[in-house]
Formats: sequence, structure tokens, C-alpha cells
Amino acid sequence: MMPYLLSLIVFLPVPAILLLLLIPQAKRSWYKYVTAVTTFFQMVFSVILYLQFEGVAGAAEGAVTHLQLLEVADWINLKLGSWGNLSIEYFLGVDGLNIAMILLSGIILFIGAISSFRIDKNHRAYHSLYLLLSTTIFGCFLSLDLFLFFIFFEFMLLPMYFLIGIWGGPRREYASIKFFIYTLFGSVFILLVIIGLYFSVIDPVKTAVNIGLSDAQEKVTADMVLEVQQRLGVGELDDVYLVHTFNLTYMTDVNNYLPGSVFHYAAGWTLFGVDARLIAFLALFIGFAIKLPVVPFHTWLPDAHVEAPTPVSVILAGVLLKIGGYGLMRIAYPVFPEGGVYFSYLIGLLGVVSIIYGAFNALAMKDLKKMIAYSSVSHMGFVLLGLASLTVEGVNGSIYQMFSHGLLSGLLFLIAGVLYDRTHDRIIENYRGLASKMPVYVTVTTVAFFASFGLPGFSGFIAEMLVLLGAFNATSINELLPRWMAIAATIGILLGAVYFLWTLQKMFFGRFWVKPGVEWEEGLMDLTAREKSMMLPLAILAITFGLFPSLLLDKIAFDMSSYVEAIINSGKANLALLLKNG
Amino acid sequence: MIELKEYLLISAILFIIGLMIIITKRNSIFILIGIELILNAANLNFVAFSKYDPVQLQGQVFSLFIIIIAAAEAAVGLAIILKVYSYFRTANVDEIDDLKG
Amino acid sequence: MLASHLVKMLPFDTVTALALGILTLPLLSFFILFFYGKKIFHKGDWFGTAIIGICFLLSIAVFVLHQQSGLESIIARVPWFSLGKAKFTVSVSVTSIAAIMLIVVTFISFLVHMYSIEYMKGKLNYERYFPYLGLFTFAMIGIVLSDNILITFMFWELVGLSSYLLIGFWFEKDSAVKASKKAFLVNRIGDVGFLIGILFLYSRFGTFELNAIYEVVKTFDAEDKSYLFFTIAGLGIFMGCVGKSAQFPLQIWLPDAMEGPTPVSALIHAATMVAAGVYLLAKTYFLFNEDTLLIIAVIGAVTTLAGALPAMVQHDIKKVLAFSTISQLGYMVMAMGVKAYEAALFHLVTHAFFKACLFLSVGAVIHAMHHIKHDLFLKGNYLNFDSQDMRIMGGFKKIMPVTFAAYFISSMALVGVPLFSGFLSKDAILLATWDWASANVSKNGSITYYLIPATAFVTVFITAFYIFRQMYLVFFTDFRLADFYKEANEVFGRMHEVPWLMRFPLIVLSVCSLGFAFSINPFSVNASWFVHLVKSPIPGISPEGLHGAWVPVLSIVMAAIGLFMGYRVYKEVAENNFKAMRRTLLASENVYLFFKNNFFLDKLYKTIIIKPGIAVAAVTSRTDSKLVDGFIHFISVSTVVFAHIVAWVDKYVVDGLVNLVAIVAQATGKVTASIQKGKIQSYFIFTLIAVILLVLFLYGLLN
Repeated sequence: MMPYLLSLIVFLPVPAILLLLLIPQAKRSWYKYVTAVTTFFQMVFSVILYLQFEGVAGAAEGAVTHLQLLEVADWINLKLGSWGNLSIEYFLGVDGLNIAMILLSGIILFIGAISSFRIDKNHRAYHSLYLLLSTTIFGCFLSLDLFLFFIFFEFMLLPMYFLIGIWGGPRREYASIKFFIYTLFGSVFILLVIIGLYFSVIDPVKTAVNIGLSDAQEKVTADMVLEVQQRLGVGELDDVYLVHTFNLTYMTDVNNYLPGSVFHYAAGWTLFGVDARLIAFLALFIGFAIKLPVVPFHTWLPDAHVEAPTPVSVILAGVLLKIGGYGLMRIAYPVFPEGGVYFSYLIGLLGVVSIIYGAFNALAMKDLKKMIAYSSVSHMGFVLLGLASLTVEGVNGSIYQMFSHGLLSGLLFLIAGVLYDRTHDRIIENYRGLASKMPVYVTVTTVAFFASFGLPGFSGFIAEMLVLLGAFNATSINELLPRWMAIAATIGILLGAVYFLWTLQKMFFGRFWVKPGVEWEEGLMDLTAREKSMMLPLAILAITFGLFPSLLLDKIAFDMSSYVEAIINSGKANLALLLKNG
Repeated sequence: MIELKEYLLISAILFIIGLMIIITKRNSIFILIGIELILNAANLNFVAFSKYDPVQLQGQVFSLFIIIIAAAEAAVGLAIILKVYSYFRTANVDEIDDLKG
Repeated sequence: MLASHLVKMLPFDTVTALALGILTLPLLSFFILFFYGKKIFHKGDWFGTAIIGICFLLSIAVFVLHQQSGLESIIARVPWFSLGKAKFTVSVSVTSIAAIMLIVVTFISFLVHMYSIEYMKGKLNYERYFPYLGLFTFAMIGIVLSDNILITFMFWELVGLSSYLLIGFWFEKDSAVKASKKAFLVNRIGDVGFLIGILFLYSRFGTFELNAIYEVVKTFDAEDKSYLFFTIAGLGIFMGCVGKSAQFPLQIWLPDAMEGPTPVSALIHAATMVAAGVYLLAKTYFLFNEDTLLIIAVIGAVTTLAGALPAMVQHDIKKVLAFSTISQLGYMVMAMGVKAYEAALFHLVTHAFFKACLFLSVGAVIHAMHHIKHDLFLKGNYLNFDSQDMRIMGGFKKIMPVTFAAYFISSMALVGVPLFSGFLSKDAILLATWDWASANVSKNGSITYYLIPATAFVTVFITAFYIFRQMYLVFFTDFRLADFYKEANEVFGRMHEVPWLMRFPLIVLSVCSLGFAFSINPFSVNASWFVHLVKSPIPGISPEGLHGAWVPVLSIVMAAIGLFMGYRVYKEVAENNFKAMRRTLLASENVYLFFKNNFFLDKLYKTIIIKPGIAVAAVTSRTDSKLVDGFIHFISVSTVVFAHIVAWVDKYVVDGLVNLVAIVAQATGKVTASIQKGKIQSYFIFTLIAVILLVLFLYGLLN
């Protein structure tokens, strides 16, 4: 066991950034190695973390998931008199929800670092920002305190903004600003909910210490917590003793809500006649849906992808989009489970719309990278559909899809990057028959394309299959989704094959031809060793996880089963209470 | 016996003359002289009114103070005028209007 | 009632372990040849062939061991992964039909491998060809062995992939690439249906294990199965079959698939993969209810005819066989629909041999044509003729007698002439359709049921016609290319029989197309060993119970008429001018074109599916750039406009007020400053006036 493994993973890039600042400009070729080595160790540590993580942990009653390897420390504590006490914690932990994402981030960030070798201006700034991004991504996935989460979540925008805005393509300013504003717009909703939660939720353990039930937090027993919760419920506790918290684990328990506060289920706060808790779910949903992205909040994605440099595209598609899905799973669903139950139809519908709409759009795209970007929209629709079903298969499928899409979209963007490196052009119609010139490249492309549209044997198939099973079964298990949604989603699978195969036919096979009047032909050489070293591992991982799903599912399935059960049970119970009150 | 009225009359005349000098004369020396006249007009009043205070003679004492202060004031005033003259090359108050708003 | 509790883990025994070995060997071959093919002797072709040969021997062992065990099915099942309570498993199931299929697949694959060594010699990307064949064989064996329908689906898609790779093997040819894409996509339409069927099964039974589901379903009676659920699930699975087995209306991909190398067509698009649909029906047969079976029968009958009609008028030597395959697959599916389970599978097996043989002999002809083209080129004649066009062939009987013999035997089997294998299986189907129709007619009173046997019989005639047409055009009369190029005759004269590597598979397959191979009594299907090995999971029409001696008689008569017609028409055509062919064949040019272009289905789909699809894509893309992004831009523009308004207000209203205060102060200052002239005497005067005023004021105050 390694102590402080989580913090190590998160903050490893910080000394690396300092090191970058010390290396003189004259030695700028060293920068990329610093980044590569740092992310390599992050990857190694995430693999170690993954191996240490126990798939089946002891069952704790009522817990949504079973957190492991917790790292908790008080960060900010303020006594605010009659406003109670403010408590912000440095709180990291892993469970079935984020372990896959950590592994994915470790892999993709390392691959992205290798891909960054091609960056040819402002080396120091680029690599510093890249490492900063790495820290924020891991921080975001690991933090269990909403305040901490939000800091990482927002801080991620800064490096992304500059990475697209400085090292991007011709329309980089437009794309980076669009990306920034879009995401910030979503964050505002999230922030509002976080503030509301802060005022509504108390930390029963610290409150117990405050009212003198115990003299130290470590000595607080479950009975004491119960007593605090019970006294809180009847309004016996004085405001002075209350400890307001951002700790996510307390937010999932309705007993920790202050009676009469905004998000207390019986408080009856409404907005436009809708209960505040449902509104809060919607607000969180919009915030994270923009990141995912879900149609109609998706138009930043194609622009950002097209303009971003290859490594940033890889990270954007491979990791950043997953934060949207992860945020929904980590915050929106457990904290407001009734929202997930109440809006399941809507969410499922948006998922299906994203799948089909994204696929149709991909079909119409002329730019290879844009086509891939829209295919991401389509694939992320499956994440939403699986989540909306709230079945064991569906939610596991969602995580699997995020993981698998992370690998595959990374691969796809590397493929687009290879072509762009050689010709600075990605228009599908400008090429034909690349297979004769670049056989290895086209072989890898074929594998990636087939994997992406869910050919069995690749990870995408397992993911989509599980999502479809979950969505289809939801009718008989919890009656949240109608069967036609799963059936409609299969059309997306069909369309996926259409646009990928079409591109394959138009661009990569047939007689060799490039747009006349350009001197690309000599430049079109096959993959270099460095490019192969990035692509082959991704392809191999996609196959490995396609054939042996238990590699991932054994780690997450136990947690996800209790997660689904908890969400469904408390969701239905809360919803009944809400409807009774409203 | 000269009545109080006469004293006051002369004092008033003296005051008016001093005032008129101050208002009309352009040369600062003359204005200083005008001021002296006004002070003396005041002195005259003090002396005249001291008739009603035969024991302490506060009026006469006061006028003595005024004379001394007037002397000092004349000295300071003349010194200022000299400095002003050496700076502005004139003693004409109309030409010294740096304080004009 | 769920079936998941019936799923027990079962260890591998000898038979299943051997079966697993048969499955993994071709995969191994694929990996070795794909990555190291260039380095192995002869680019690995012999290695790949040998591996499949071993598989064939193992398959025989599996078959024998299974027969000895006396069990209906031997299953091994291991866990794959689990989600909470849901357990996902992988299973290998050896049944009689699976064992037979194993032999058929590995045997034909082995022969095709061998044939390909010669056929593909010197072709571009030769080192890629054998790994792909290995991949296909692996996937096909997977379909055969897997008892888990999800795993079956995975292999199902994998054969689609290998079919894609092999159809588009000559990837520099645009038509080949297009055909491969089309094949995959059309198949995927069917696969989507298959997937939906699987979803239904899983949601109903909680498992993918067919054996477990069967244990539950076999307790159901007809009424239990009449629910819409079974109909939809059955139709979904049937859709998979429609795609893969090229049934109407998805048969359009198979003729195009002929772009692939001919041995590939023989193996994948004639003998094995396309028959996988029928095999799938056999595997899931217990799920089908009366409604589903009726639909299956109708689709099969339509396909039978829809395949045969275009075959009459094709010029491409391979396309005739492709359409013929569609037609024969229609027979099998129709047989499944009329509950002639054994007959359908029997026809599957016999068809696999004779159709592979047909393709390989036709491949030999094409091979010769390539040589002729090549030789003409060497002589300085660059002739751009289509070496698959039957109109320029003819007379190959003389130079390739073995090929002709093989072709003749297999075509007789196709027509269903007695003594040949096709007679046994096809007549079993014809009998079954007749029995089924008469039983239904007597039950429901509607004579429309007779349409199905009628179609089947008419198709016997058409089959005989088109195959004899082909035989005549290719093997009889003279070499017609010489009509256009005199030099061709000389080159043709120097052609000779194909080498032994190609000849051996032809001979073996034609032997397998003889009736003796399947029955001691080549006139009676009941005497065949095959029908005693397979047993329908639901009560159906087994060949033993069939009667009606007139059926084979009628079919023979139909076939004879067809053969005769084909001979008459094409004797005339080939001897006269070629252009007269259309008119002699069919009265109407339109009907001719209608058949020639496969009923214009491609055009139809282009109009009703592809074009609207692309239009929708254009609309969504415009929605994105105009509506969604337009909205976003509108928001951003209005934000900026609003910001400008705010800036204006700030500048002129808020700042204006502040400035106003300043201006007032300044003006006041100016007014008051004008008093301050710097003239000491004026100050005196002001003071004086002020004092006077003060005095006056005080005076007034006192009074």
C-alpha cells in the first residue's frame, strides 16, 4: 500500500511545473520529456491504484458506493456565529464510479504527452499548461468535497482555454472562447446548486463534536450521528452549533438536511411551481450535460475539436467529456436521486436524440476531425441513455462506454492528427485510396473505425450492448424508460457503421488520389515509430477490454449495483415525499 | 470742556480719511499710512471712552498696546512691502494680483 | 419466467475442448499470418492451409466422439463477466448439427485455402489473404459452436468483418470497396434486428444461453408462444438471418459481393457464411411461433423466386451463381418456415458442397480467362474486356474437361436431378412445402397457402433454365472472344486444365455433390444418414412422414423442361448474333431490365432510404450550424449589443450625472472666482459693504 497515493497522483505535476520553470529556454527540448515522464508516473500510479482498488468491498448499509483509500483533512473551518460553521475539507477517495476514469485519465494523458512532442512553439508555456490540466483532471475525478471539486472543475478551463487558443488552428480564438463561455455557463448552474447545498447540509460528525456529544471527530459513533440527525430533524439544534459542509457523502443522506432549508425535501421551496430539489437536479444536469455534451448543448465540441491541436483533442475527447458524465453520476444522481427518477424519460430521450442526431451530423461532415467529433456526441448519448435507465446493466454500460470511448476517441483523434501533420488538411473529399501509400496507417484506421462503431470484440461493443440491455430492460425492472428508446438507439449503431465505413471507402480505399495542385504526395509517409507507440497500445487496450470486460467490471460492478439500488430506492422514496408535499 | 461727541467726531473723520486712503491710494505705503490712521482713530476712541473708567484707565492702556502693535505692524508691513517691491518691482497694489481667481 | 437460474457452469470435456481447439486454431493462424505472414515460408499460405486441415481432422474427431457419446448436446460453459446478479457466460455446445457444420466449414475452408494458393498466386497483398480467410473460419466456427446468443452475435458481426475485408480485398478497385461497404451495411441492418431480438430474449429470460432458454420454452404450449413477444423476438432474430442469408428484401448485397476473389465467394458467399442465417434459425428454432414461421416461409418463398429470376439474365458468370445462391437460400429459409427443419439443414449441407464446387469451377474458368488476357497482353494486345462476361466465353469444355465435369455434377445437384445430392434435399423441401400447404389449406380453407409450393416448383424450372444457360454459354460451342479478336483463338488453344492444387478441390467437392455421399439409396431422402442425425426441436414435418410420389416426378419434369429450354434458347443465341439474346429470351425489354437490375431494388433503396438519409444528415448539420449555433450566436451577439447599450448608458447617463455635478461646481466656481480679482482694495470695499450691511442688519434686528 502506498500512503497518499491519491494526492500523489493529483499533485505530481506541480513540482514538474516548477522544474519546467527552472530549465532554461535554451534547453527547451527537455520540456517534453519532463511532461512525458511526469504523466508516465501518473499513469503508473493510476495503474497501481487500479490494482489496489478492491472490487468487492465490505457492504456498508445505506451507502451509495463504497469509498476506499480515503484522504481527508480539514481545509477551511470558519465560525460564522448564527450562520453556523463553515467546513471545507480536502477529501479524496476512489470507488467504482471513478476508478475507471482514473485509469483512463492516466493512460490518455500519457499518450497525449507523447503526442505533444510535435508542439513547436512556446514550449514552456504549453507543457506547464498541460501539466496543470493533468492535475485538475485527476483532482476533479478524485475529490469528494464539492468545493474542492468545483475548484478543479473550473480550473480545468484555464489550461484548456489557452491550449486551444494559442496552439490551435486558424479559428482558435473563436473555438476557445466558445468552449470557455459554454462551459462557464454550465458551471454557473452548478455553482448555484453547490451554494444551495452548502446552506442545506450539515456535517453530523462535526456537529456532534460541537454540541458536546463527543470530544473528537474520531470518537463519534453511528449512534451519535443518528442522535444529531434526529435532533436536527426536530429543530432542536441551535444554529451556532451547526457545521455546514461541502462533503458529498453527507449530501446523499436526507437526514443531514436542515429542516426548512432550500433543498430539504419537505421544505416545499419551489421555482415556477417545481420543487427546488428537482430544479437543482435540472441545473446540475444542464451544467454537466454541456460538458458531456448532450444535444442541444453540444456545438462547442466540433469547433473546439477542429481547432485544438492533436494532443488537446485527444484529451478533450478522451477525458474531459467524461467529466460531464462523471459529474452526473457523482453529484446529480446521488444528491438528488428523485430528479434522476423523475426526469428519466427526458434524459433517456436526450440520450437517444444525441445518439441519432450526432450520428446524422457525422454523416454530413466533410472534415475528418469534425466527423469524429460528432461521433463523440453520438457515443456520449449512450452514456446518458444507460444512466437514465438506472439499471445495473445500463449504468455499468455508461461507465464502460465512457472508458471505451476515451480509448477509441483518443485513437481516432490521433489518426486525424497524423494526416493533419503531413498535409495540414483534413477534408475527406481531398483524399482517396490512402491505403496504397500508408498501409499501416490505414490498417490502424480500419481497426479504430470498426472498433468505434461497436464491432464485437472491441470495448465499444460491450459498452453499447450493456447500455442497450439496461435501457431495454428498464421497462421491466423499474419502468423508467420505454422500450422504444433502446430500439431507437440501435439505429444509432447502424448509422455509426454508415459514416465510418463511408469515410473508409471514400478516403482510405480505392485508387490513390489527392486533391490536384498540392504537393502532399511526398509527405504522405506511413506511421513513424512514435505514432505507432501511441496508437497500438490504445488499439490493444480496446481489444483487451472488449474481450475481457471483467477486467473493468469486476472492479466497478459491485459498487454500481449498490449505487443503482440506492438511487432507485431513495429516489422513489424522496419523490413520493416531494409529490406528497407539493 | 471738549465733549465726548467731538472726540468721536474727530475719530470718525480720521477713520473715514484712513479708509478713503486705503481704498483710493494705489501705493502700498499709502495704504499702510491709511491703516495707521484707522488705528489712531480707534486709539482716539479708546482714550475718549477711558473717561468713564478713571480708576483703571483700561482704554488708555489698550491704546498704548495698539500703538506698540501698530509700530510693530508698520515695521513688518514695511518689510513686506520692501520684499514685494523687490520681487514685483512695484509697490502698486493693482499690479500685484497673483491671487486673482 | 426467467431462465437465468438454469445457467450452470459446465466444465470442458474432451469433445468441447476439441471444439474449442478447432475454434482457436484459425484465430492463431490469423494472428501469426497477419503479423508475420511475410516472413513465413511462401508467405504463410501453406501454414494457413495446414492449420485448417488440422481443424478438419479435429472436426471429424469431434463428430465421431459426439456420436459415440449418444448425447443430444454436449455443452461447456464458463463465466465471462458478471454484473451484480446478472451473469454473462460463454459456452461451447456440440450438437449433431454443429458437428456436421464444423466438418462442412472446415472442409470447404480447407479446400478453398488449397485452391487459393494457386488462384491467388502473385496477386497484390497475397500475404493478407490467408489471415483473412483464417479470421473468417474462426468467426464462422464461433457461430457454429456458441450456445450463447450474444456470443453468436459477436461472431456474427465478425464474419461480417471478414466478409468486408475479403470482398474489398482488392481495395484499389472502387467497385470492390463499395461492394464491401454495401455488404457490411446491409448486413448491419439485419444485425440491428437481430440485436433487438436478443434484447427481447434477455429481458424476458435474463440470460443469453440458448440451452437454458430452451429448457424453459419447451414447456410452453402453442398458446404460450403466441404472444406478440415471441413474434417480435423471433422476427428480430429472423432479421439477422435476412441480412446474412441475403433474403428478400436485403438480398441486394450478395450479387455485389462477387467483387471479392472467387474462392472467397465460394467459401463465404455461397457455402458457409450466407448459410449461417439458416443455421441461426435452426439454433433458435424453438422460439418461433406460428406467425413468425409463416412470415419466414413467405420471405423464403419470395427470395427463392427473387433470386432465380435475375439469374436468368445476368452476363457476369459469378453473378448468375450469386443470384442462384440467393434462390437456394430462399429454399432453405422457406423450408424452415414450413417446419421442415431437417430438410432445410440437409439442403444447407448439400448446397454448401455443390455451390462451392460451382464457384470453384467457375473460378477455374475465370482463372483461365485471366491467363488469356495476360497472354494477349504479352502479345501486345491490350484488351480491356471483362473476364467474367459469359458472352465472350464458350468452348471451355474442350480445354478444361475436369472443370467441366465438376461443374456439370454440381449443376445437376443444383437442379435436383436424381443421383445427385441436391435431389435428395430439394425434394425433401418440395414435399414439405406441399404437405404444409395442404395441411394449412384443410385447416384454414384458404388456397393461398399453395402459393408457396407453387413458387418452389416454378423455381425448380427457372433454376434448371439459368444453370443450363450458363453451362451452355461457358462450356459449349466456341470461344466467342475470338469473334472480336482473332488472336484470342490461338491463345485459347494453348490453355489447359487448371493445376492440381485447383483440380483436387474440384474433384473432391464434386464427389460430395453426388447423391451417394448422403444416402445409400440416392432416390430416397429417408435413407440418408443426415436426417437421422438431426432432430427438430419442435414438432414439424420430418422427411419420414412425407408422402406424395408425384412430387419428385413433378420436380424432375420441371427440371427437365428447364434444361431443355435453356439448351434451346441458348443454342440459338450463341450460334447467332449475341444481341438477339434479349429478344429471344424475354418479349419485353422492360421485363428484361427489371430482372437484370435485380428488380431495381438498389435504385429503390437509394431513393427511399439513402437519399432521405443523406437529406436528414444535411438537415441536422444545417440545424446545428444554423439553428443551434445560430441561437448561440444570437445569444452572444445580443449579449454584445446589450453590453454596448450598457456602455452607452454608463457613458452618457451615469457619467453624465457625475459630470453635471462637476460642471455646476465649476460654473459656480467661475462666478465666485470673478469676484476675486486679486485687488486688495476691492476686498476692502466688499468688507466695508459687508460691515455696513451687517450694521444695518443688526440695526434692523434691534428694532
